[in-house]
Order: sequence, then structure tokens, then C-alpha cells
Amino acid sequence: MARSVNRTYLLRLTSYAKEKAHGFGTTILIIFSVLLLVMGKINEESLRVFKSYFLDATSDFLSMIGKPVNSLSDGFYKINDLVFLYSQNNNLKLENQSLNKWKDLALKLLAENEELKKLLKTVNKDHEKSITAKVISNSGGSYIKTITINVGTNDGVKLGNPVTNNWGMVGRVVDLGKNASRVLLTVDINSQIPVYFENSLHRAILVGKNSDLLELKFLKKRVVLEDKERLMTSGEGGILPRGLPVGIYSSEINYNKEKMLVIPSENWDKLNTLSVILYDYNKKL
Amino acid sequence: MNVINLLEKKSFIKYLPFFLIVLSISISSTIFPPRGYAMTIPFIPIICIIFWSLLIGKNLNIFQYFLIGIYTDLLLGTPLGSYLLIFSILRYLSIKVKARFQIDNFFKNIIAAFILIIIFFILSNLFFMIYYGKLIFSKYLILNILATIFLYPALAVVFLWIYKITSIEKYYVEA
Repeated sequence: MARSVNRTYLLRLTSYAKEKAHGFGTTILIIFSVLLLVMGKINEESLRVFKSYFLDATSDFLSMIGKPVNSLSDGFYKINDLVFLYSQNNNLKLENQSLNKWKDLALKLLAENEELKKLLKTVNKDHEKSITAKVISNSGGSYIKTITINVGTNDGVKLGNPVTNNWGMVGRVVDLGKNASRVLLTVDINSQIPVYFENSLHRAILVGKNSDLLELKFLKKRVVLEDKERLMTSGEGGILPRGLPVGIYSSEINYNKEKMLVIPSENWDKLNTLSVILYDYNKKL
Repeated sequence: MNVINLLEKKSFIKYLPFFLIVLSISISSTIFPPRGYAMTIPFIPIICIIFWSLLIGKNLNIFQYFLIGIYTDLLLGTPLGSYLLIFSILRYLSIKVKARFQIDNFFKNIIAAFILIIIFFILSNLFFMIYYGKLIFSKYLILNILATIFLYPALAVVFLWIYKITSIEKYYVEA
């Protein structure tokens, strides 16, 4: 009898101890995560080395497991393309016709520009080098919009380098490893880019909204803006080069005058192959 | 030799939920989101975490949660410790829910998971709003929540099948 009582008591004691240990463990975990967050907020540099090691360590693994997943999604896209083949072909023919006109105009303007440069004896601005990068992974959530690309310091990439697609800028490098980097997309809530309007030259700051639109801030009041005008990086602050297209202003989406919205670079969410502009801001400064 | 193999198999199966969660987090980050939805795809990590927490409870231990949280933070590029904090709170809640409502069948599991997913998104929204000091709300957030909720049953069926064919429960009971 006494032995069974002892055993029940022991079992109760064990389960009580386990319950307490579980609660204690969770508390420790919460405290530790808060400490990590505080540490990251106070001194971001302290965690940067750790993050860059992680980027390098996981880039090969992610590329490997991403291959079957991406080939599957590529297959779906190809089927989709086949369905819309006829209409796409018609659209491309029309686009080609209009592009031919633009090509003629561009060639004329190029020749004219060269002649004027010769007359003015201007020094040619050296163009920035760029490298092609493949997207390895993406954040794919609502709270952060980042991607990881397969180029890093070994390829000459620097922190803050702009990442572009064939239309314009889609993001900039925020974490750097030897063979991989993390890119903060322009649509992310933490992205803020100094810009100017291509024709009217008004200046503003372009802010991400974690959505498919960007918001313009600090634009002067009572300014006249052209529809379909491009927004270019102003290069203020020195980190980004001047003159990269980031978005298009459209009066169609700006019926609400309190918030100025901008359409980001075309195909910003087509994440496959991108270019990194190897801009050395230290050299420029 | 056979004893060593048996022990290795046993310890591997014991940690199978952990490996499955890590693998699904990795795979989900390599999926290219469909165009036109602002890079929105269901948040697969939380589906795995909630499913296994509701099924095996405390057997998915604190250290494993720590590794999952840190791995998610580093992989997605969120502030280090953010998902660790949210997952820790969610672990506590899911164990409480499991104990209180006796989650012993698939239907109950899905109902509990729906509620926990919504709690997760509320917690995440609150956290990132406080951390960044900005309001994070868009139609894509709603899409994200709905997509996660509706994907849960499909993945739960697959995980339940793995749970049954490997008889994971047996290994925990022995432990």
C-alpha cells in the first residue's frame, strides 16, 4: 500500500517537474529571443558576420533543393505560355512595330548626341560594370520582401549595390557573403530611395509598402506631374548611382491626393535572373 | 551492428518532425511566387510547426524550436530573434490548446490550427509593427493568411500519413 502511494506521489512529482521545466524553458527561449532582438537593434554590425556565414553556408544547399522545385514551376509557366501563345504573338508583333520607330529615333538622337559632345568637348562618364546573378531563394511573406542571389564579395559586390532587371532597379544588397548576398526589394517596408522625376525633376523619397505599389514621400506640394513619368534614383547620399529607373508615376492610381503612389519597376516580381551594378560609392566620393 | 542501426533509425525517426520542418522551411523559400501577387505565398513554416506541435506537443523540444526559429530568421532575412520569439509563444499556446481541448482527431486538429494560424499572424503583425514602427497592412496580407489557412489541410494530410507510416508516437512513448 505504502509502496503504491509512494509511486503515485513520485509520478505526480515528475509530471509537476516536467510542467515547470517546460514553462521555464519557454521563458528562457523568449528572454533569449528578446535579447537577440535588442542586440540586433543596438548594434546591427555584431550580427552581420554571423549572417554572412549563414548566407554562404546555405547558398549551395538552397540552390540544390531549389532545382526540382523551380523546374516544376517553370513547367507550369511554360504550359501557361503555350495557352496564351497566339495572343502573345500578336501583342509582340504590335510591340515590335512601335519599337522599330523608337529604334530609328534613338539612332538619330545618339548620332546627334555624339556630335554635340564633340562640340562641347565633354569627358565621357565611365559606365558602371554589372554582373548577372541568379535568384536562389526569397522571403515570400507579407512582412519582409527580400531575395538571395548567388553573387557575393568574391564577385566584387559591395553593400548597397543596386540590383536591376531589364527595366530598372528592383532592390539593393543589404547582407553580403562571399558567394551569396541578400537583396532588399524596393517594395519592402524598410526600403527608402531618394529619387527625382525624369522630366519635371521634382525630388522625393520613394518608400516601399510591402505591397505591389510604392509611396512617394517628401514631395513638394502643388507640383504638376506628368502621367507615365519615370522616377530615377537621384544618387543623393552617394550609395546608389544617379539615373536608375525605379518606378513610374501614373495619374490613374493617384485619385487619392493624400498618398502619392508609384508603380515599381516592370516585372519586379519575376525573380529569376537579375543584374548587380558594381557601383563603388567610396571611389565616387 | 543491428543494434546500432536500430538505435540510429530510432533517433532519426524521433527527430523526423524537426527535419521535416527544416526541410519545408528551406523548400518554401526556394519557391518562386506567382507573378502579380506581390510575392505572396502561403507561410509554409507555420503550417508545419502548428501541425507537429498539435500532434506531438512537448516532444518537439525547446532546443529544436530554438534552431527552427533562428534558421527561419536567417533564411528569410527577418530581424534575428523575431520568428524565434513568435514561434516560442506559439509553441506555448499550441501545447496549452492541445492539453485543454484534447486534440485527438483530424477535424479538431484543423479547427485548432485555423485559430493558431490567425493568432500567429496577429502576433507577427503586432511584432513587426512595434519593431519597425510602421503599420503593415495590405490586401496581400489577407491573401497570405487565407492561403496559409487553406493550404493547411492539404499539408496536414501528407504529414499525418508520414506520422502513421513511421509510427513516430511509439518512439516518444518509449522515450
